[in-house]
Amino acid sequence: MESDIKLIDDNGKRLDGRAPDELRKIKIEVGVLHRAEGSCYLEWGGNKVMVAVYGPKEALPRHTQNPLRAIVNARYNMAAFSVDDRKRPGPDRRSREISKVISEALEKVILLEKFPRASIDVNIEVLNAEAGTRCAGLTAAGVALADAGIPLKDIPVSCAAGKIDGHVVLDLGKEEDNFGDADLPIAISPRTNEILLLQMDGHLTVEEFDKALEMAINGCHIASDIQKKAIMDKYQSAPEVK
Amino acid sequence: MTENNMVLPGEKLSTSEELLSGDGTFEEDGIIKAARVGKYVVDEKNRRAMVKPVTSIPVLLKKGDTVLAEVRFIRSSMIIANVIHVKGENRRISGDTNGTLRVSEISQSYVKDPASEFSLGDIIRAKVTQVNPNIQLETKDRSLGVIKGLCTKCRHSLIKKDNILECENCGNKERRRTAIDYGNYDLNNL
Repeated sequence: MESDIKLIDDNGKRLDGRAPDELRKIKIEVGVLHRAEGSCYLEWGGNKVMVAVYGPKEALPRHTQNPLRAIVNARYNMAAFSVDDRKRPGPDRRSREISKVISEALEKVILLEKFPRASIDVNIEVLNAEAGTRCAGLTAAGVALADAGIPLKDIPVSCAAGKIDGHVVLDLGKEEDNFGDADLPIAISPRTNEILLLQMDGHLTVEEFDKALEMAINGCHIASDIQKKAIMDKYQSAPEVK
Repeated sequence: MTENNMVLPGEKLSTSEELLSGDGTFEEDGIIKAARVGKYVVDEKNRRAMVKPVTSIPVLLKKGDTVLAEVRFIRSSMIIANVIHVKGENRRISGDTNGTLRVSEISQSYVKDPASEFSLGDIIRAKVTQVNPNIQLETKDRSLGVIKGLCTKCRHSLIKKDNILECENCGNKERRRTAIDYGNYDLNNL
């Protein structure tokens, strides 16, 4: 797609002044909701996301229960005021798809066998959206799960790469997402680099795809360090429970 | 990983040749890794690697737990109660909550019919005697038994008067296997 605006200038700087392999600013707060078992508030550039984890608890209705393991119900929801034009509230095709892929990504890192017949609810509320909300949501969900004390194999983390004006870049911003050529959000388990989620919007050649994937994995590792620091800051000085 | 350090989920702690995998850890390809946020400790007696949690952790019923439960069904030989709270925990219970209390486990003395001791909707305090394959409860101790009962005629609270329970609304008199602190329990230590 040819765009009228130039997304990347002659010096290789992007619209918001970032280098091609630079992330937006990430801020994470752990344990912000008192009634939830685990929670996290995350700001990723202009994205603002709040995640609450409830459970494990008995899965209802009972036919959804799995006698061998827990089920994960992630619910991605965009607030009506999260975008410039009011979003019609409630689940739609897009949010249902995102909820499904996030649930499946989280199932891969949670030790589900410890809680047969249970469900773990992960509510992801997007308060402000600016491209890459599913990555922000999943990254926050990982922190909230750790905060809830749910046994995890790793803290999942997510980041996107994409293509704008023919260049492969990391973490697309709003204009880059709207007028760019491709978007590649991924989620990984950072200790093993196992891919938990991979979606692609637009077209990439095989070489571009490989480059974007490598770039996104690097981005995930940077975000992962911020996640870990946020958890450590909250609990480093905290006394042990029991 | 050295002992007494803060660890995060997925962090390598030890190997399965050296230690056993304990609470808050899991084993993958012969490596013991942390499964939650906490402090890494080694139980030297059992040579077990453990992570002491710093976050709240999911509540699982254990044998010996004192619990609160709501009476759901009354049969001729047992009652079925839904466990709603574990003493000392402020998180909901993860997993199965349907407990059974057999006639023989209701009281020290002989009980012919559970219906004479409990009524539907009563909140009871009980002790867990078994978790697998199903939850079994026991109310033999004086501190265990009904802590809140409802009138079978009008569903208002029953108030303890001498050794009998009386409905505050209709004056109906009823009998229950009450806990010793019926009516004046400590809300902060249920």
